[in-house]
Order: sequence, then C-alpha cells, then structure tokens
Amino acid sequence: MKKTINIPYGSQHIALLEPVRFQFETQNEKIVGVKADIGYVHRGIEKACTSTFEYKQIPSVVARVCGLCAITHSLTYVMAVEQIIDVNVSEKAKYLRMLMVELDRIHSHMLCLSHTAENAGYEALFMQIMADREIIMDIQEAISGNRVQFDFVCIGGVNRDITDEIVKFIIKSLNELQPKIEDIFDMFENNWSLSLKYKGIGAITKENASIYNALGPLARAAGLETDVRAESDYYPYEKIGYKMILEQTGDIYGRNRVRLREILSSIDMIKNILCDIPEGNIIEKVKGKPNGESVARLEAPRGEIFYYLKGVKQAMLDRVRTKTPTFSGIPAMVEIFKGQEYGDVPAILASFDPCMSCTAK
Amino acid sequence: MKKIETNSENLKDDISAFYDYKIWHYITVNGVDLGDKMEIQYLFKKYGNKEEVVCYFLTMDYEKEIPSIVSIIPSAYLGEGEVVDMFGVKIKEIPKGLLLEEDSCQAPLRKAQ
Amino acid sequence: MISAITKAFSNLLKKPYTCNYPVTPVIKPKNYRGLIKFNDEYCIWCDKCEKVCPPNAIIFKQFEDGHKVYNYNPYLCIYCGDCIRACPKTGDALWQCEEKGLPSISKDAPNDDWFILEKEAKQSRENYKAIKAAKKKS
Ligand code: SF4
Ligand code: SF4
Repeated sequence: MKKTINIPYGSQHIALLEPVRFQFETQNEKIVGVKADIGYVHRGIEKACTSTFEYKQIPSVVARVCGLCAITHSLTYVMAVEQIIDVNVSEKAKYLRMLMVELDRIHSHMLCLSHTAENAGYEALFMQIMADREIIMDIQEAISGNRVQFDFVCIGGVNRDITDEIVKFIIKSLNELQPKIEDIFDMFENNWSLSLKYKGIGAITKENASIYNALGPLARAAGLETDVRAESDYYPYEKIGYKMILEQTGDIYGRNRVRLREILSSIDMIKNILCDIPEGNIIEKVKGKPNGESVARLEAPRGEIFYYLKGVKQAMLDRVRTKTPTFSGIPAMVEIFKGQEYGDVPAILASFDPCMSCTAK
Repeated sequence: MKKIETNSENLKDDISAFYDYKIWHYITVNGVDLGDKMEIQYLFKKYGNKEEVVCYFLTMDYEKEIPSIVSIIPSAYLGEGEVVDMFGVKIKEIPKGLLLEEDSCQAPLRKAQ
Repeated sequence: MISAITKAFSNLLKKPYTCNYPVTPVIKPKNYRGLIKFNDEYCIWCDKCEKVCPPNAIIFKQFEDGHKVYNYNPYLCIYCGDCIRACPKTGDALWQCEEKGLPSISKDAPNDDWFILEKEAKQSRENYKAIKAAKKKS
C-alpha cells in the first residue's frame, strides 16, 4: 500500500513571503507530488487598465503590479505603446532606461540572495545583504525621486534627467558596493554550512528547463541560453558590454552564482552606461491615439516580462495582457520540487525568487 | 509580431508540427475579445535569435469548446487557465478557478458584461 | 570563511545600520518627490492637472458664479508628478515640494469625505453646464 501524507505549504507560512499555496504529497521526507495554487492576490489590474485608466496613465498603474519590478513593468508597457503610436525615443532616454533596469536587477537579485540565505537558516547574512542593498535603493531614490515607486519612464522617454552630481554619486556608491558583493560572493562560494543547503539541491536539467519553459536566472543556472537582452535589439546592450551569464549545475548554488555574477556584470554595465550617455532630449512629444496590436518583451530580474496591447483609436485601450516571469516559471518550479526533501522546500522556493503579486496581478 | 491563422480543428496539429522545445520558447496564451467572438493567441519566440514573436491565432464563438495544447506544451495549463477564467471560454480539460474564486465575478474581461 | 568570521565579530562593535526614525530624521536626496502645492493666484483653471491625475487626487469644484475651488488629497496622491508636467503654469500655479506626505490613521478616514466630494464636484459641473445652457437660451 502506498502511504503518502499531504502537507499544505502556505498560503500563510512562516518561511513564505508571498501568498501562494503549495500542496505537497510526501512519502516519508520525499516529495512525490506538488500542486500549486496561485490565485490569492488577483487584483484585476488588466481589467482596470481597460476600464478605468487612459493609456497615458497606465505606466503609473502597472508600476504598482509589483514593487520590485516597478520599472520593468512600466517600461515594457511603454515600449509596447510606443510601437503602436510611432514615437521614436531618443538614444539618451534609452540609456537612462537601461540604467534604471540594471539598477533594478541588482537590488532585486540582492533581495533574493538575502532570502535564500535566510531560508537556509543564515539570518546574519540576510541582514548584511539587506543593509548593503540600501546603497542601490539610495541611488534609485536620487535618480527618480522615490525609493520604490519610480514613475521614471513615460511614453516618449523618461521623466527626469540625470545630473553630473548624481553620476558622481552613483559611481562612488557602486565602487563602495563592488567589494561588498565580492565578500558576499566569497561567502556563498566557500561557506561550508551554506554549501550543505545549496549544492545539488533543487536541481533541474537543461532538458527539463526548456520543456517546462523556465526563464531568467532559473533557466540560465541550468545552462539554457535565454535572455531577452540578447534576443532583441531595442536597447544597445552589446555596446555597453552585455554578456550572457550561464551556469551548468541547475541547483540552488548555481542560481545564486548566476545572480551574483549578474550583479557584478550589471555594475560594470552601469559604469559603461554612465561613461557614454549621449546628448539629446529625454522626452518626445506624444500625439494620437493607439490603434493596432503590439507586443513587447523585456528581461526583468526574474526573467522575461511580456506585454500585449490592443488599441482601437480610443484613449482607453482595448486589451492589456501582462505576462510576468513567475507566472511562466511555476511549471518548472513544480517540476523541481518533485523528488526533493520536504525540509529543503523553504530554501528552494526562495531561490526561485517568486513574486506572487506579479503572478496573480 | 508575425501572425499565423489556424482553427480549432487544426490547432493541435499545427502547434505540434511547429513547436520544438529546443528551438521555441513558449511565451503564453492570450485571449482578446473581438466584440462578437473570441480570438485566442498562442505566442512563441525563438531562443537566441532576434526574430519577431510568432503568434498562432484562432477565432471562436463564445460557447464553443477548443482543444487544449497541454499535451504538446506541458506548461501551457497556466496560460489557458487564465484565459478560461478571464473570458469564460471553454477549453477541454482545463478547469476554472486558477485566479478567480467561485463567488467572485465570472469572466471579468468579457465585453458584454 | 575566516574573513567572514572576523567581519561578524567586528560587526558587534559597530553602530547599527538603521536610524532611529522618527526621532532622527531621514535625509532625503535633492529633488525628492513630495506633496503637490498649489497657488490660485496664478492658476488659469484649465483643469489639465485634474484630467491627467491617475488616482484622481485633484478635484476642482465648480461654483455657480463661475469660480472654481482646488481640492487635493495627499492620501490618494502617488507623487507621480504627471500634474506638474501637464500644467501650463508649472512652478507658479502648481509645483511639487520635497516635503513627505504624512501617514493617516484609519480613524481619520480621509478618503470617505473625498469620495463624497468627488461626487459633489461632478454634480456641480453638471449644474453649472445646465445653468449656462439655460442662460444662452434666454
Ligand atoms: S502627483 Fe500624480 S497623483 Fe499626485 S496629484 Fe499629481 S498627478 Fe495626481
Ligand atoms: S493645470 Fe495648472 S493652470 Fe491648469 S488648472 Fe491645474 S494648476 Fe491650474
């Protein structure tokens, strides 16, 4: 007789930061079946975008889908709108947008690393990374005027320009951050007790990663070459020294390494951006009403973010579809859990960096 | 976006002839209400390539049922589930209730409502 | 590993990283986006700020003699600054200061009155339109 026990994990759980529920079917300590329920925080943002707000107001609305990806949501939306109303954004605005996206990536990855440390039982490291993360938050506040809700991009460009003073401040802060990240890197690499929690745990093969459409750091840790930055030429990523970061192990350790290396490469990219921001307008005039269909993709910290828009020559859009990275990541996550020990679940889940307010929107 | 039309009978054949998990990244399933019928879109992107997004689409009546592509793309159940919830369309073997509860408003993105 | 241990011990002797807010104030960077300020002397009553505001945090109430009164709800405002960019008299009539909005206590329920005001304002516009139309006819 097969004896299994069902253990619910969430929607409220001490090691869970987000309202999601997993139903684990376990045999002794081993997980044999998983069900995920993600619909706890559905807020009807897509409905609001097509019934309450005009298309020019939506960048502020979708920014509030998720606090961590505020910039990527509004930016992807804005990119999609710009395609249907034919606005050409200046090079300068593109550079400033890239700058914010890369800063966003750094702080989001640091948040994820800190939670992975915490859920593996390393509270002090969690505190340390969160404290270092403040450096990036301060930079973002200096650029956009707010810590979390940047409202920085708008249709046609960006809202605020960058001054020499801020450029100096950013470079100084990044130079301060770099050794700290290297310290943390060293810790994740060489700490023996952390390696017990990370190495070989929660692994996914490259084959499975592409069957279940994993994306972002989750896929790159398994060696699957997927990154929107390399798959579109909307932004001049090659010019500023973008390299795809890949690991082969696919486990928590691999995902942490991908994130840490991406932070370091983002720091380099930001320095390059700051060196050669071109001259130009930051904002172009926008005329007309959107008419037609368009799609836009962008690499958010957690993976590909996707917007589909349809306009019918009215101020209100006809359809706004948001596809967030965690939403497409769920099938791969469910797959990874199978065969793992129940005790490792918190650390594995944190290493996915799930964002439920994005997923259910 | 490159659009290719299909219909509910040929959908599974078309997608399985087209989709190879090593080459194509499945993005999502999307629904658009056209006012009197539904358009269901299946979006794909090639890995490591700067080509456009490829979109297979079909139009259907509200009451009709279309087949599911889960047998070809196992992770499609989420995207299809969302379309089922948001538009109240029927897709074979995809239950309701991924995002909405039983007692919440049904099919919120349907235009007639 | 050893450097991590020494760091952990040296942290014991350091001051805390956090600051004792609200006793010690937080230093805000220059051009922090704060509350919206208004001066009716310069306003040309074009209503552009009201139209662009995403959460409807600016409302003009119309009076029958033709003048309008500006209302602003700091609890609804998201400090996006769209109104400032839309205003033809930026800086004189409408500007964003660096002052932070205060939190409200649920007891105050600031938004309840606001939603009543929103309805009244809408009604006042319609009344004014009706009066104007009636005048034209007569
Ligand atoms: S800052 Fe934004 S939310 Fe606040 S009043 Fe202006 S437009 Fe409205
Ligand atoms: S946009 Fe400026 S000038 Fe026009 S009503 Fe508002 S504050 Fe007055």
